[in-house]
Amino acid sequence: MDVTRRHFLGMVAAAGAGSLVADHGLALAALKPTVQVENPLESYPDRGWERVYRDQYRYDSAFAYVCSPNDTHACRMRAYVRNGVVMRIEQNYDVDRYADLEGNRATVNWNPRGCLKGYTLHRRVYGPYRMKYPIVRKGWKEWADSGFPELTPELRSKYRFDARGQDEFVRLLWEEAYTYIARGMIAIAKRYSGPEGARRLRDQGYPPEMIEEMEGAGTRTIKLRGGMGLLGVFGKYGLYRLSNMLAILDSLIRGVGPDEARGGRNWSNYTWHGDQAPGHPWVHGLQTSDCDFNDLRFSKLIIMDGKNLVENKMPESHFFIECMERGAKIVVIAPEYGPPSTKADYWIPIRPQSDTALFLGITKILIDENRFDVDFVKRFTDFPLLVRTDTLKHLKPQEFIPGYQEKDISRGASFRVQGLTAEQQKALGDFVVWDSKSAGPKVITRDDVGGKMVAQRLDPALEGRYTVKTVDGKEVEVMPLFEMYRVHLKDYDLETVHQITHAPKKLIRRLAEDIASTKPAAIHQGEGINHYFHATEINRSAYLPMMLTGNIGFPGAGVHTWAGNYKAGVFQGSAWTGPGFAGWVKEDPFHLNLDPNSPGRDVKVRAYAKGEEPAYWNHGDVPLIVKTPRYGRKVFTGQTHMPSPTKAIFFNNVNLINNAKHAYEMIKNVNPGVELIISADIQMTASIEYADFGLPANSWMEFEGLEVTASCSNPFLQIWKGGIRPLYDSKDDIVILAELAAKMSEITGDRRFADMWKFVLEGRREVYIQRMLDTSTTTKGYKLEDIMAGKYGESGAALMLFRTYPRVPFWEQVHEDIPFYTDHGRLQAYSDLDEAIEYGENFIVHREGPEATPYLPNVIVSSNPFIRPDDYGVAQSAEHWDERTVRNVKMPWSQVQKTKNFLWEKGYRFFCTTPKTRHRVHSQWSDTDWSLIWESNFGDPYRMDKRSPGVGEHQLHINPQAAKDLGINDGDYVYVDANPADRPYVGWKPNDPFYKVSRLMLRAKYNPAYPYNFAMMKHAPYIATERSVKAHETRKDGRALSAGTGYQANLRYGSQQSLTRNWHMPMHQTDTLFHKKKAAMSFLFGGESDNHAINTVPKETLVRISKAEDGGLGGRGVWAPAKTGFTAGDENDFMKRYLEGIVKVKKD
Amino acid sequence: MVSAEIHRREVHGEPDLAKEYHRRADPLYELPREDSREEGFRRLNRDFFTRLGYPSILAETLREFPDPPTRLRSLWVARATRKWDEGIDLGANGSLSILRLRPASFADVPSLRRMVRHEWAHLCDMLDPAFGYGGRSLPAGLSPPEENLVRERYRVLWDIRVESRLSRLGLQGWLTKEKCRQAFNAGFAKLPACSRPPLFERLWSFGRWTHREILEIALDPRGLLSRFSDLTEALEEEEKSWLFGGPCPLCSFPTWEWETGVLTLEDHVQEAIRSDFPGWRPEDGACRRCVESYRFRALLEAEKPVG
Repeated sequence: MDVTRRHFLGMVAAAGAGSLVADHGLALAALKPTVQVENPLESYPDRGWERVYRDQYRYDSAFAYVCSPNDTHACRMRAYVRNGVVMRIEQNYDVDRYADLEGNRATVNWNPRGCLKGYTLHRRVYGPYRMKYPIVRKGWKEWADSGFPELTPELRSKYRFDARGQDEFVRLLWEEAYTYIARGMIAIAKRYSGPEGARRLRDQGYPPEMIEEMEGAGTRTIKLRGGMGLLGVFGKYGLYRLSNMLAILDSLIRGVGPDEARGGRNWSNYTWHGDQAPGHPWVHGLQTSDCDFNDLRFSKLIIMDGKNLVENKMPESHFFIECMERGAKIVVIAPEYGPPSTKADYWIPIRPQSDTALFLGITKILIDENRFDVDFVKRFTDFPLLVRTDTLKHLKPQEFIPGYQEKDISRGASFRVQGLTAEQQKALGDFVVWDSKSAGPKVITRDDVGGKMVAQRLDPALEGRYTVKTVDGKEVEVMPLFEMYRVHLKDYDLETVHQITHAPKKLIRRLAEDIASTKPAAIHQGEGINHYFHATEINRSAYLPMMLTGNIGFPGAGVHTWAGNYKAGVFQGSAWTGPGFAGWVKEDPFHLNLDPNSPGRDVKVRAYAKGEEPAYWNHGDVPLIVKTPRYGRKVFTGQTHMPSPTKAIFFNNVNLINNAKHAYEMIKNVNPGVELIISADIQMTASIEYADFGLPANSWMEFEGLEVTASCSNPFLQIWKGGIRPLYDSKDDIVILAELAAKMSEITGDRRFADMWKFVLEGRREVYIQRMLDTSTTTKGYKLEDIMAGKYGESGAALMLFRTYPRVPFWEQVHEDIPFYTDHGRLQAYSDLDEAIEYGENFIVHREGPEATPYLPNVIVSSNPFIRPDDYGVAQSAEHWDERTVRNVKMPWSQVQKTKNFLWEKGYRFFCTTPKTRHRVHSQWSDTDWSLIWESNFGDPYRMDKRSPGVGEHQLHINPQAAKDLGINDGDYVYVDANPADRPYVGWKPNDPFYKVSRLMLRAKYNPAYPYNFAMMKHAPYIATERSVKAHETRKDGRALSAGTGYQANLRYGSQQSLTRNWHMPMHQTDTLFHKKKAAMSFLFGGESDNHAINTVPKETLVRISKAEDGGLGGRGVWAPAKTGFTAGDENDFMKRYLEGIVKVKKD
Repeated sequence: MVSAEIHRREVHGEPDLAKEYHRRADPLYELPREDSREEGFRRLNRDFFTRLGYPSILAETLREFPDPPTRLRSLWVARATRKWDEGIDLGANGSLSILRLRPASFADVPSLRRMVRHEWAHLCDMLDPAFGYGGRSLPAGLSPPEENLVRERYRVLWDIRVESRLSRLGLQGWLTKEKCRQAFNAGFAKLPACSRPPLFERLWSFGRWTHREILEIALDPRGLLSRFSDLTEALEEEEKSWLFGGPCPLCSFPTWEWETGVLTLEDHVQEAIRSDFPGWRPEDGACRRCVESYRFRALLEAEKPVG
């Protein structure tokens, strides 16, 4: 061991005074007492300073507002104001007073609500990163000033559409900004309208399907995204109203009437975030099953599958933790030993994305050992339905009953409650079970569930193989689905499941026992699950044990997920109330209701805008089309999902580009083809750095008018406005949209644009709010003025009118025999859709991911003869991401084990996950100093290491042994790289300066909670941009603070989006899935954004990690805390003994 | 430290000191006030520290040096809590220094002496005007890994200067000659292997490098060869070795992952690299990521399955 040399070597750098001894004389002088006091009680020189302490809580006024980020809580906070400035924020402790029309009150146990994000909002509002006035990109302005010439490759470069990140911004007045934007939207809509527009798009290489989808309307190239609209139903969702309004523009441009006019495309939020549980509509037909948080306390067995309530649901996680003291058993299933595992009775470690195999294994145990609720299974699930073994389709009555006509169920719940139409019923048909009593096939309808089936004196068989003679004289074999599952589950015996999942056999067995013996039981799946490519199967599989044991529709039971405040459905319309939420976003712009006193149900609704997944833009602005060896060019994206080309993007309250998977691909290769990008936000973001316009919006505490929100995880209706004047030249979101529309009226001379926002422009947005309250199933009867007067407890708050408190999904189905929202009205363990059969997912089956696996990408683990997938002739050696996406190869586990993933073989051996953060919501709070300091192990307000991009920086959690094996010390900077074929962007080259910007480099932090081949970094930091990289490489202080924009990055280079990409999951894109609409009591087939649509899957990522720089100060040696002996992976002997429990603590 | 040494002597057949220690220590436990007890033990241990001869060990060690630095007015000895805190610090005006030692280091007196000599020799250099310490700092613009490398080379050269001087005085230093040689070979791996042994011997025997010269060599090791005319031929035989933490010639990111098979790269990959970097030769090296990207790109460009 060498003697440390840093005392000497430190001086080599001349500035090495840090290692020199301080001047003692000075130190002693500093210690001299300043005042001599004999007896402080008798005489004290000056106590005035104490007032500073006493006065720090003094305030002039206080007001409540709603903290409304996308975390599903929407907590009402109280801000304390002094001299016009918010000094501090506290929890409002108000929920126990919330009431509904019938006098029901919320439980006091909801209190207190609010977390550290809410406490620090004033740091954001008064912080240095606010958007202060409208700005436009210089190149875009020049383009506009030149009359919007058609963008040839040369002009795209001239106006810097291909170098937005290096252009400058120019300040505008609001009037100017509106004029430019309105003119830009009109120019783009004109350019791409009609046959000439289609020709241009063909020339740009767009596939014909996308162009046809536009139906000639250039407005269809305009994409609008209200950033998680429910967070501000009027301001944020207002963008979708604006999108509907664009139908007027289309009618003016193309000279068409309302029947042919088309609005813009509404980009989704929930699915785009990867937050939806995409398997839910496949099981019960509902967008998502989620209960109120206070339902958790009713569970006796609560299973957290990839869900981290402790970190990600801070205000309400106590309902989960309470389960410990209420005697429930807590089980956590996750690859890592994370915060929820510390609360668990047992933690089941699992290989990433293998949860389906685990649940199939548990299902097998329950079935093999007859540990299931036969009655529930027969009444509420599809297990008794007969399936033909030849076609793999449900047996239909007309196939064996000559001249069969569907039963008349028009007076039943399907039609009267759920809004089923006769046309839909015809398409669905009726179904068949094998009746044990009569020993023959019997027809049942989708209304024949629960007690209604029992009333028919049917006893459907669950087992056996039967033969049915069809009307054309053929004999076909049919089986109850339950019997088919016995065959299917042969592949999922305990030993195989253990091998697939790496979960200990004892714990798999124990969980099966617990599910079989405990009621009510619930499984909660988080975005940790939903971010997997095969989340559909994982979601579906989690239902199997619950369906078998009757754990659906009761307090404390069910399979739920929360990730993102997506639920427009809480303002659901119906035949008996009126349009609800749709009355706001889809009011017919050609038949506007301009009477402020008109009842809301008189508002005419018509959808001219159409939903679309940003995932297509995120995939090179194309759908999933693959040249297959067997069938040639094949379009996998369903017609109901088909995107149109993207030429303009307008989003508010979201950091769209920053948070886009494959963000650098968007910036480099996709956005140069987009001609107008507008971001309205309260702060400077990377998205604005790469946009054409930045529009400053008011923060929640600055709102000048009312805004509304609600939640998928609590029953609270929240309406509020701000309590301080806007600090800068910013406006309410809704006002920005209304004034832009007014400008369109001014430019076009058509006043309908302005009329669309009449009551906003007149300062009476309350008219729209009351209309929505009047026509939503959950708020009908409330008067806005009563709510604001505090009639229901707290000004602005009330309880949503749910049928139960807590709200329990499927309570009506199980207690009132209402059908589930599926084809047959039953919980669905099997799908006979053509797509599902073709993809090999008619049964719920485990698949390896297309990238994040050591085995053959996307392989189906099964030998079930009733799974017959099509591989389209795609070779097993194919490496392109789309080929891996569509290739369906079936193999038993014994064969799968012998296969290899080419990326794994090349050293990409870390599953990389990007879960939600503790102290941010998506990228919000990413530039808040306190949050940055708390958020990682490298927070340092003094920035002693000048490499740190700010007062904190992002980190990668890695298993200590895995890191050591790579020569990486705790705290070192590392590169994290994914497939070099397409990341960080397609076509990157080592000498491209943008590669330097986009390659991820960040700190590594040893964390033994993570398994060996697993790395984790929290998602949505502020990404490195061209400006921020230039800043930290050239500024004296080394901060990644962009010149010109004031943008503060959280990383020196790259971001987690350097690793992720979009995956066009085929099961997310069918045209045939029958399910409930998201915000109305009615049904649809196929795609609906946020409902049945591409759910993005950032976890589908394998990475390689390598050392970049030493972690010690200035890049020298080991990061100092790692040398203390008290950090994970570098424990000294004392620490080791302490961890082993050998250190004894003396007790007096 | 004191009690450990007394105990050691006791088990080696010298019980008197232990007896005396306990005779004086036992009454201290009876003192009613805690601060009195602590003060008593402090005094007792100081006495025995002196009787065990520890202060004279340090003084004797420093007296071994023929030319103590005249500017230094006082040397303080303080306690170090961790091993890497041991060593000498110099005060800002050069008249005061602090020697930090862990009590545990006194358990091995020969080793303690070697360490103190090593530290003291460095201090003497720092105060020697001929050495010219601190006159020149590292140039700006070095990446952290490059800066690390330069510091490491500086450390090796300075250690050679110090240890060879101790050796010439007949004193045993902290590092043996062999250790110094190993450190030199590691830090100067860039130099041709055949040139390293004679170079090291010359460095060891010469021993009068100034701070400025050491720094120049650390920054440019090839300059060391050019100082010896009979070794300049070796420059032509310079071996290719890529430095851990050095910049990849393609992406210029510091890399610890050099592509090991770069000299035998497939032709089409080499061509692909040269299409972007015309002057690149396999001997220049490339990081694993860069090579891989060209390999993947060639594969994908051959087949585009997207419709």
